[in-house]
Amino acid sequence: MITPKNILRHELIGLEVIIAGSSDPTLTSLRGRVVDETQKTLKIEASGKRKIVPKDICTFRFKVDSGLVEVSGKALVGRPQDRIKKK
Amino acid sequence: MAKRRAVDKRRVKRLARERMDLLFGLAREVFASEPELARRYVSLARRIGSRCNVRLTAGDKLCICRDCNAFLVPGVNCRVRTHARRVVVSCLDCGGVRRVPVTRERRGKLNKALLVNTG
Repeated sequence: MITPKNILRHELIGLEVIIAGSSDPTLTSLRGRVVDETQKTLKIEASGKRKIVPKDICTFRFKVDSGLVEVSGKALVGRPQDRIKKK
Repeated sequence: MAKRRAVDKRRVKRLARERMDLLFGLAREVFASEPELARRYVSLARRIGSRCNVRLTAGDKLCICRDCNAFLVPGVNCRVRTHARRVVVSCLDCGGVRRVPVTRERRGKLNKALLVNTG
């Protein structure tokens, strides 16, 4: 179960996401599904296109079972296999 | 203090298991359209498992290639045969082979595991 509590450590791939805000105006209100993740980026598929989005300049809103969770991208920086261990 | 460590470890492992299952499910979904992405999900699941000391289930192991991390689907990118009382799964991409001995106890589990992918 992905909860707002464990989102920092949980798998982001497969989640629907909206970029709530970003220092790059072309990225704000991008809406799609996470298909891949690296240490500093998320790859989001939006309307057929794959976009590579840096984590640290965006705030994301993820759709989980319980609703929407807003997360600052800076808190998500880290390799997916490292994030699960105490981050 | 000792209690806190144990609880954290359990939580991490549970989370790891959940993530790995999630990734396997996703790999199964995307395989039809993009097998390379499925391969990426498999390697990620393996890495999470090794990081958090969580093992793959016997069923998981049957559908991944140990050498190239491919998500194996019988008939598409792997060959499943029996030979000398073993189930032999051969990856058609890289030639990696996994052999599992079939014992009476294992038979039910193996059948179930293999059916999940073909179905």
